[in-house]
Amino acid sequence: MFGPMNIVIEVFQFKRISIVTQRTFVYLLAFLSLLLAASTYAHDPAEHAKEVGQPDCSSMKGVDPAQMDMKDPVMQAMMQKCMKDMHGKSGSKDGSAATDQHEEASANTAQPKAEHQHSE
Amino acid sequence: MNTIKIVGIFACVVLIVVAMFVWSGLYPIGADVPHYRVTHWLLETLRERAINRADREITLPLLDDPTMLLAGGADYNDMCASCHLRPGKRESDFSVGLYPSPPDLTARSSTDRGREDEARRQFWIIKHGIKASGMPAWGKTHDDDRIWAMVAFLRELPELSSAQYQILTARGDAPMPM
Repeated sequence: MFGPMNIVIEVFQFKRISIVTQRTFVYLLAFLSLLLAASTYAHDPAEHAKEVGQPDCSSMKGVDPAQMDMKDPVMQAMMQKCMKDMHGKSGSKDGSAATDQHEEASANTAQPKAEHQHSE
Repeated sequence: MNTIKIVGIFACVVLIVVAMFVWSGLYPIGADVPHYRVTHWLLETLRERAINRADREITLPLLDDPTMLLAGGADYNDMCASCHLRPGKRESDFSVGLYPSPPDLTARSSTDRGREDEARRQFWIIKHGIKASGMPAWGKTHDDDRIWAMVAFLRELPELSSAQYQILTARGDAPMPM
């Protein structure tokens, strides 16, 4: 007869179990710990990145930055996302290229936000 | 002395009746049966008073930062849009099925709260959640910076078109500032 009591006895007699069984047990424990550790990163923004697509910058194509309100944070954020599409250049990872262009354009113009919202 | 006795007995009777009602299971607990008007008013007042008291001391950071908008937008899309909607969408399974129904955050606020008060309130609600409403306490798993980024995005959300929303919320290969 092999019941739950036997399992308890086996666990308490850990030293008696063969080296191979001990290793399997340790690997299993390590694997479970790894799973637990991975779950703590579930709310890392990078986790979500796998699930969503690229920004659709078609509405920003051909838009002249000089005609935009560069003080508007929404416009600045959109520029950061759509640098490549707007100018055929690769935007830098930290968005510094975008910022440079914003400053350049904002020196030229400052128009009300509502005029520069892109319709659907 | 007699009056005290009568009041005491009356209070006991009321307590027993309430306890019997709770125990009986007769209360319609389903989310598809709305509260009585008085219950609704009571809960709403309780909620608003509690939030007003709790969010008073919160200090606002600068929220007009494009990197905050990008971080907050992506988080909003992942965590909030299914209940609080996105531009061009008027309802979802969650917005229809939840009770109380979650507010449509793409709509302009109809309250007379100032922009700063509204931001404080939003921060507090996102961080602490609201009991028995379906609103989780995101503060248990998200730090304050990330929650403020969501608040920054919420401030702009009612003015965004669908196209703008898509650009701001797609994570793509954009920088992850938070």
